[in-house]
Amino acid sequence: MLNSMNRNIKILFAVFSILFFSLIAYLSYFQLYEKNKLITSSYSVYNKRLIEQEKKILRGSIYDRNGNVLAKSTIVNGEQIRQYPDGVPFADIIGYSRRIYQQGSTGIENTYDRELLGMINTDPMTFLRETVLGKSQVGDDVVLTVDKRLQDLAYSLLGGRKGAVVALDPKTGAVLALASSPSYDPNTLGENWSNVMNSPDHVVLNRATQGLYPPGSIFKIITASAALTYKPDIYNQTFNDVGYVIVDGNKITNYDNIAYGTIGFQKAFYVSSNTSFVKIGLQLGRSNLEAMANKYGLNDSVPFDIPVEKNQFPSIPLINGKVQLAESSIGQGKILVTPLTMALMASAPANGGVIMKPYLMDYVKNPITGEILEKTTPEKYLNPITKDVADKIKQLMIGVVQQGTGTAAQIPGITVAGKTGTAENPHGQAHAWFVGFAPADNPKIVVAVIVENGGAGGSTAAPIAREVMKAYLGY
Amino acid sequence: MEEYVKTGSKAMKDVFLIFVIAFMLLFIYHKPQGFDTIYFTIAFLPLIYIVYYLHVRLFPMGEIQLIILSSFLAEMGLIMIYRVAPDLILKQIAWIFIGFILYFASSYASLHYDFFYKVKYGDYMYLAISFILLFSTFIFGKEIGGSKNWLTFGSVSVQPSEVVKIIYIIYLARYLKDHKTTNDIIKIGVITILIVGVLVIEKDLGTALLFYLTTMFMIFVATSSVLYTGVGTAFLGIGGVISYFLFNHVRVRIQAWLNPWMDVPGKTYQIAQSLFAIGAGGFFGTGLGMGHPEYIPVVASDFIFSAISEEFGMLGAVAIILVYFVIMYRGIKVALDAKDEFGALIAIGLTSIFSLQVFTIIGGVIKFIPLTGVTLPFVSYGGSSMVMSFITLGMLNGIAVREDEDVEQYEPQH
Repeated sequence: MLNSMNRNIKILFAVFSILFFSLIAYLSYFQLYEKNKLITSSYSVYNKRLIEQEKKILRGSIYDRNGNVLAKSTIVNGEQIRQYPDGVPFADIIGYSRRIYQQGSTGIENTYDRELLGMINTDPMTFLRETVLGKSQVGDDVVLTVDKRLQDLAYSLLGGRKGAVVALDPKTGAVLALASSPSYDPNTLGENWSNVMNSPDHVVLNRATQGLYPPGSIFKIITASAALTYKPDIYNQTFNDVGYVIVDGNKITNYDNIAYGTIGFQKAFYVSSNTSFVKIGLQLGRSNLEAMANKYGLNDSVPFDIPVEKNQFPSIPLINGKVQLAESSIGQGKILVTPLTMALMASAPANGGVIMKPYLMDYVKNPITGEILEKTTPEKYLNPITKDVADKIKQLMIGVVQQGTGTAAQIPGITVAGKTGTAENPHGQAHAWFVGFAPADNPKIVVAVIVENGGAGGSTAAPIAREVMKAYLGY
Repeated sequence: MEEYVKTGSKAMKDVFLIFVIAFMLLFIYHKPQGFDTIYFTIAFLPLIYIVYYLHVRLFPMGEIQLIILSSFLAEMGLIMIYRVAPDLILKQIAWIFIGFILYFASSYASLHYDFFYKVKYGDYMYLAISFILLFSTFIFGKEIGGSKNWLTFGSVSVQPSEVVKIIYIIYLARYLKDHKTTNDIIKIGVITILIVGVLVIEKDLGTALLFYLTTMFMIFVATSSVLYTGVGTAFLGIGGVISYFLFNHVRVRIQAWLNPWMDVPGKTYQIAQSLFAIGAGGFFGTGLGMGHPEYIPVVASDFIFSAISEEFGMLGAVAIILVYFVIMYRGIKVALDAKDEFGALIAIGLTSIFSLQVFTIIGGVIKFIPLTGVTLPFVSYGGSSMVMSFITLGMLNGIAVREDEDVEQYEPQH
């Protein structure tokens, strides 16, 4: 009896040994694999250790493309203080960090928090070595693609009006300026927290990426793309423009009710004839227009460094959808887009039909050694149209600036391409839009401008775009 | 014998040294909590030395390892408790002191363990005491930390289930020695399920699991039956599924285990903070006094292992596990060398419940298994757990001494 019992006890010993060593095995697995997931996951905001660690680390600086400081930390009386030398124009890009204001984090300060804390490459041994050597810990620097001069200019051109300016390099997707007006001063955010957060003008809303607006006539770029792609013969049609068109009993008029008479496709685009584009849209049909809109990402959230709102292009009903189709063709109705998306839309004709993925972070570097730790490589985002169609759209957009609604965007010595928009909306006067790029033969900058309730795009938005392009191209 | 004592005193020296270094570090990093605390804390060193000396004297053939290892674990607990909750340390030292006394008392008591066997109407008595204690919490119980399994007397709270553990093991050993038919096993099964049911309703899930598995292991050792073990495992699975759907607190535990991120500010806050702490410690730890184990809730009792993992790293944590492994190994040795089946069954029962408790709480806080609130023996803050852990080891020591000494010498004269 005792013999068989001893055997059983030994079996039990084996069982307990397995249990104990499985604990050790799991702990090792946790430290090797699970732990890293833990640190990089979004749940790490619940880890108060990060906040403690940050207090010991001098937070990294943020620079523009030319090395101008946009945010830096200094130590005053033993306390770390975050300074924003060019605060107001950049507030909606840079954002703020909950490590400074506790209540939350936004913008670049949030997205590149770990980089700014210098935590991307810290393994325990490096940490140990640096602690033993008594090296003061510093976070890494984040260098943005934005150009401070351009950003300041764009912000001042908006002149306190509600609106946004987006400028980017169509060949890479690098964002050159991303102004949202009105803004706030992040240097005094601590004192003015509730005023800023509850501002009736929504100053913390980044209108460039989170503002949703009807696109109005700049959407005709997409309607034209659909026409040239799916029904190329429309390009050679003529339209009888009497100043209005009636669709299922609804009257849709031209801007200021002007009647252009018998005009071709090109002229219709130059003068932004609603009457003609409604007819084009009805010929295209809902499926073609929707397909092209989706190709331009009008139902997407644009992948970006800071939060963006999702664009909305609701599908047009199969039955009784004629009015919505007509309105959609001229960018009215239920379509809502962000200014960033419209800049991307304009970069398709500028870049041979390819839209590059937009980005704000150029690279992350170690402030002491200068070593580049992260670098954004430009990548393709969308390809809505062929090179052939892109070139035709570009010609149409050149015509708009030379002889159409966008003459205010002309720059002597440079060919500018563009499209104006005057988006009717339920909140009073129409929103003024302009999208365009220059130089047309080798586009270096794409600009999208919106001024809320600014009236006609040609007179309000186009001059802002012109000044931004002029400044960037050095004219 | 000489060699044996030499190794022992060398180990004690290390235990001393660790204590002195750790408290010096803590006094440097954190302000001392008044001089009383320092005196009492320093009193811990003579205390364990006296206990060690007494043990060598009183039980020259006893399990000296048990007292060295439990002193080390209690010391690690004290260090961590001083670190995270300094105002609890005096109480904890008092409990350790009581624990040592009861260690010797239970050692002597179990030298005469035959008495537990020979007592008249033993079956009924043990069961009656067990159930009275368990049900007492229903009537007089107080809910502490989410489980209604505490009895409060003045400023002292005790967990009756801790006492029931040992009484029930004695009952099982006594019963299984003579009763091995299927009917007998079914009877034990029914009684065990009753006890486990009471514990589950009291939300003491960890203890319920310990009771169940210990019973299963004891039946296996006594009967060698794979069938009973298989049926027992199947019942455990079925019972687990039923209680998942029946009891909300079971469901929450399982869900928090499967996805500790589902509700970090709420339901899964504890386990998430525990994992952050263990992750922050890495392999080498942040160093004593340099981490932030105070961010973990109930860190001094249930989550003390996470605190050790953070500051002593995975290496320190593994060392703790290995210490428990050695204690388990000594327990198994005692069971193997026991002079009769009753002694062996008690030893295996005590070893099982001790080892399973260690596995349950460590596995729980590292998210290897669902988290159930049991304490880490000797290390966690808490009186009932400390005292009963010392009694457990004391009984193992008594059974071990009984093996080696001349039995008749200790036989009481009837």
